[in-house]
Amino acid sequence: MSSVKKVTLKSSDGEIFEVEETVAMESQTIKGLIEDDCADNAIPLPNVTGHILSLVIQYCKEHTSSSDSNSSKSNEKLKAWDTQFINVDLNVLFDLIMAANYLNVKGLLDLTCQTVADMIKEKTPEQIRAMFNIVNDFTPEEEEEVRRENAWAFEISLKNNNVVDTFEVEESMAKELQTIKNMIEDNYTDSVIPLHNVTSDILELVIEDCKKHVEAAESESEPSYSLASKLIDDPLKA
Amino acid sequence: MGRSDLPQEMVEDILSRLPAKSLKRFSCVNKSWSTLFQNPCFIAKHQHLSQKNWSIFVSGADREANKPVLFLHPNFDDVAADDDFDSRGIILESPFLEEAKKYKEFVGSCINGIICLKYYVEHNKIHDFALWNPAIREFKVLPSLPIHFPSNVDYEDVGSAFGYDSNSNDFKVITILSYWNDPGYYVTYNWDPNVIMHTQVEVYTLSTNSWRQVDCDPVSHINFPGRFREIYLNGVYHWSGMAPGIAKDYFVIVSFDMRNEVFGILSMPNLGDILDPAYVWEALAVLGNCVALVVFDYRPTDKIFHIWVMREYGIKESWTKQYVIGPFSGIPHIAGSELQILLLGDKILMVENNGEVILYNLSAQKIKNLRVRGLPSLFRASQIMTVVEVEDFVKAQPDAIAHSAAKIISRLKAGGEKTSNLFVGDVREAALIGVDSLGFDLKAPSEYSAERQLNDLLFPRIHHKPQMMKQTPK
Repeated sequence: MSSVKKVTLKSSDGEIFEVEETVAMESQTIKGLIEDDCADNAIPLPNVTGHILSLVIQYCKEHTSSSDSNSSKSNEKLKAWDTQFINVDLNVLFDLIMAANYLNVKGLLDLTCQTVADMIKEKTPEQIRAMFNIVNDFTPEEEEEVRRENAWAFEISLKNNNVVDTFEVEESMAKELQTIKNMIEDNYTDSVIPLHNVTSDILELVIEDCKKHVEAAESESEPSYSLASKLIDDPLKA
Repeated sequence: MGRSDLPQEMVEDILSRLPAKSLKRFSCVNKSWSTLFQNPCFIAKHQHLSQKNWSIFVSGADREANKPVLFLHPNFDDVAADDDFDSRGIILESPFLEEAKKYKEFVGSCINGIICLKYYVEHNKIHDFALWNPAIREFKVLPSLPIHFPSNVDYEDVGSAFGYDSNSNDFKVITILSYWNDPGYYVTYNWDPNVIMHTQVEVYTLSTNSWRQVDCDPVSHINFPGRFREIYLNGVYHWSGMAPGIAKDYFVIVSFDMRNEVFGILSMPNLGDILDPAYVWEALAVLGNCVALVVFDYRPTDKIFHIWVMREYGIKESWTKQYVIGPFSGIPHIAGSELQILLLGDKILMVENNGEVILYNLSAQKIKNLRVRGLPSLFRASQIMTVVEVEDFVKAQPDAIAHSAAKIISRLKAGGEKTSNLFVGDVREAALIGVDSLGFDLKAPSEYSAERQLNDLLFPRIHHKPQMMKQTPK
């Protein structure tokens, strides 16, 4: 016979959840309702589906119990749990953000927003527009001006096989390599491109080469593809 | 696949967690995002979150090149044990600092993306100042200090500060001058009880572009700034100072509030019998938004550090000894200012001239020795927190045309009639106020208003009403 106080939560699609009061109070919204004595019957949560609500409850459970016990559940373990918990697809992540906001669960809101931030920080503007369904209202000239003002922010990072060295190159140079060019144009990649088959030394040589081509192209002389870049292009095509 | 149902507040929360480089890249996503990134409220939120990614900003002088040097270090969280750092040093190419001028130092830390430079022009008695905005690569040279002393009075610039008044949205530079009523005094440095030392404080405000004297009576009896590092906390500058006592002199902290330009005095903690004051080395620091003091006895080979924190601002009794750490061996004998100590959240950074850096993690209680190559032989370490992050310093190159702007403009003005004939139409009294790689900027009718607009452009301030911070003077 449990003497622990429970509250009942009802999701938008009618699912019922019985939750311990302490766990439910991780949500400041629910806490307020309980304290105002509005929680005798099931609390309806019309903005949260059953699936998302179950996830939020999982999060609250995990984080309540760790604040009770004398941090034997160490910070590191909790962080590891969080990392695994948040490994969900983007749609669920967005839903979690909105639920955490509506239910006012600060820790979950921080976790979800930070996760999305980490996800998008290397993305290109085109990918961002796709992700947030944003219409580009700049004219091509205006957009070009903004890009020019912030040119260094648009550099593409090429990382070598061990992700030890990162080379920042301008887009024009990176496009010299056919593979990368395709990746960029198909919006297939972020601004950080890992090149698993290429070591730093080779990558340096290739970049030097591309630089020369770009300079040669600008001075309108005949570019000649060197052996190095040809060799590299092949493994990259894998 | 895209989601447009995420509320704006959430989108802004996510964006405020992004590094500056990402924000710059996303400025072209659409117009409202571009505007958002320049909104002062957003920037304030972003700066707060960015504090997790501090970089150390070590200013110094490259003695051979005689130029200011900026060294930036990565976030020390990422450092593996016993790493050698290759400091990313940037030598500031500043054409406006011509041969005759000798670089001195950076004043304070970076505020809202602006840095204050203090330099010394040969044959001038007193230093000059300039404000530098690396994001848009512009310098502003401050007018010279108006010195009112009669010629037989010796005076000396003993310290400066750089701050920001959040009420009036203004940048301020402070200079502390000491002078004696005996002209020969400073040469001999023999203590003479008949010689009285006076302090005069001048404050420069960007909005008025002028210096004025402020009342320093509350602290005129105190000898400051002392040799410890100064700190800037919550809009208040703090220096250590020496106050005359009945039996003997004692250390105090002198504070200056940037907003109301008022001096104050804070007491140091009672160090008691633990440390012999004669052999104690102290440094002011900031720990958890409180004034802190790092103290140690420098005689033993193995040093023990005491860290005191003033938990309640201004209350002497609230000084608490928060940490005792050490003993650390291998810190060579330190004399005065050669060791610099920074507190960054839960880490203590001890930086020595020769490149030795000791990193102590207070919560993990772990110590790391790092070696930083390339530090200049004379430097001062301070923190930097800014929305315009490390990359902007690395990439910042002075705009050659912008620096020649003054000369170009004056030459055109000297051209007189010939140049004004170029301006057709109704434009009278057109003033050429700007030159950059995009062309010439004209503004009519008033040069004063043009100057003010340029000022606002160069030195963005946080206004109460949200506005675009960049204005184009057209």
